[in-house]
Amino acid sequence: LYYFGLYGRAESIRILLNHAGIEFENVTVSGATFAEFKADTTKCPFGQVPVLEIDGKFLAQGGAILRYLGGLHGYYPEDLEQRFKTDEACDLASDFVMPVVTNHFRTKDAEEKKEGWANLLTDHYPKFFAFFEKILTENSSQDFLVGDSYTIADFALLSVYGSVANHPLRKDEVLPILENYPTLKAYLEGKWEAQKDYFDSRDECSF
Amino acid sequence: LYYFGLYARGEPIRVLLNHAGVEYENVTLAGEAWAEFKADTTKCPFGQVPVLEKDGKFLAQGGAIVRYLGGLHGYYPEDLEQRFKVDETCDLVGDFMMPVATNHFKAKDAEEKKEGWANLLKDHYPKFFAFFEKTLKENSSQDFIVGDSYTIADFALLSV
Repeated sequence: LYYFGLYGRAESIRILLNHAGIEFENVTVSGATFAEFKADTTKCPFGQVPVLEIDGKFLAQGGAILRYLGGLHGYYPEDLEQRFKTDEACDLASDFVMPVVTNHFRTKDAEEKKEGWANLLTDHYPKFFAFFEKILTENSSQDFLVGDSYTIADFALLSVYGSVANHPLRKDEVLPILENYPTLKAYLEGKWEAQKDYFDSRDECSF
Repeated sequence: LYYFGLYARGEPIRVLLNHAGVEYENVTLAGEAWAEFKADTTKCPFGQVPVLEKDGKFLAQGGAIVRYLGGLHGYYPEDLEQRFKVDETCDLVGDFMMPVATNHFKAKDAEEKKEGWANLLKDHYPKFFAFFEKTLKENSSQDFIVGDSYTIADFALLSV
C-alpha cells in the first residue's frame, strides 16, 4: 500500500486489512520518493495515492480499493439495500472529513483557519455526529453501522474518528461534543477498543 | 428524484434512469422549497440532495444512489475486478469534476475565476482526458469504460 505518512485516504484500507488479518507492506512516499512514484504510470496510473499493489496489479482510488477489498473479505453486503446503506454511510464519512481536512491543510491564513475551526466545532461536528447517531439508532444493531457485522462503512468511520476526533491534536476539543451522542460514542469507543492493538501500534500522523 | 436545477450530482442518476427506461418524477428544488425540503428529516435525512424517493424510502448520497440503481438494473458488475474498474473510474470522474465545479461556484472574484479557468484548460482537462483515453484503450472494448456493456462509470463520465 503506497501512501503519504498520513492516515488520510489510506487508513480505512489499513484498518480493514488489519481486521481481516492480512499482512501488507505499508510504503510511505513523500517529497522525492513521491515525485518518483508519481512519474511511474505503471505503478501510479493516475498520479495519485493511495495505490494498492496486489497480484502484480496497481489499483488506484482509495474508495474503489476499499470496496474491492470489502468485496473480497466479506465487508460489502450482497443485498442491494444493505449495500446502499453501506455506501451512503461511507459517503457521509467523506462529507464529514473533507471540510476538516480543507481547513487543516488548505486554509493559509492563521486567523481564517482558527475561525474555520471554531465554526467546524459549533456546526459541522454536531451535525455529522447527529447523522451517525441516527444511522446507528435506526440499524438493527447499535454495534455496527449496517447490519450486524463489520462493513467498509465501519472502517471508514473509524478511520475518520481517529483523524478528526480521537486524535491527540484534536480530542480535547472534539470529544466533549461527542458526549451528546451516546449511541455513537459507545459505538466508536467499542470499535476503537476492539482494534486497540492496531491503533496503539500505528505511527502518529497529523491527520 | 429531488435535486437542484443542475446537472451536477443529479445527472448520472437521470442518465441511468433514461437508459434503463425507468420513469421517474424529477423534482427541482430552490429557495423556499429547498429550505422546506431540507428541514424535513424524513424526506431529507442528511440535509443534502440528491435524494431518491423509492418505494416509500428516501435514499441520500448521489454515489450510493447510482450504485444502488446500477445494481438493480445490471449496470454494476458482479465480478470484483470489473467492479473495481467501475468504481475507480467513477471516483476519477469525481476528481475530474470537482475542481471545475469549485472554480465555477467558489472562486472569490472574477479575476481569480478567470485565471483558475485558464489553468484548468491548460493542466486539468488534458490530464483527465488522458486518464480516460488510457482507461478506454486498455479495456476490451473502446465503446465502454469497463467490459462490453454500459456500467455506472459510463453514465458518470457522460454526465460530467
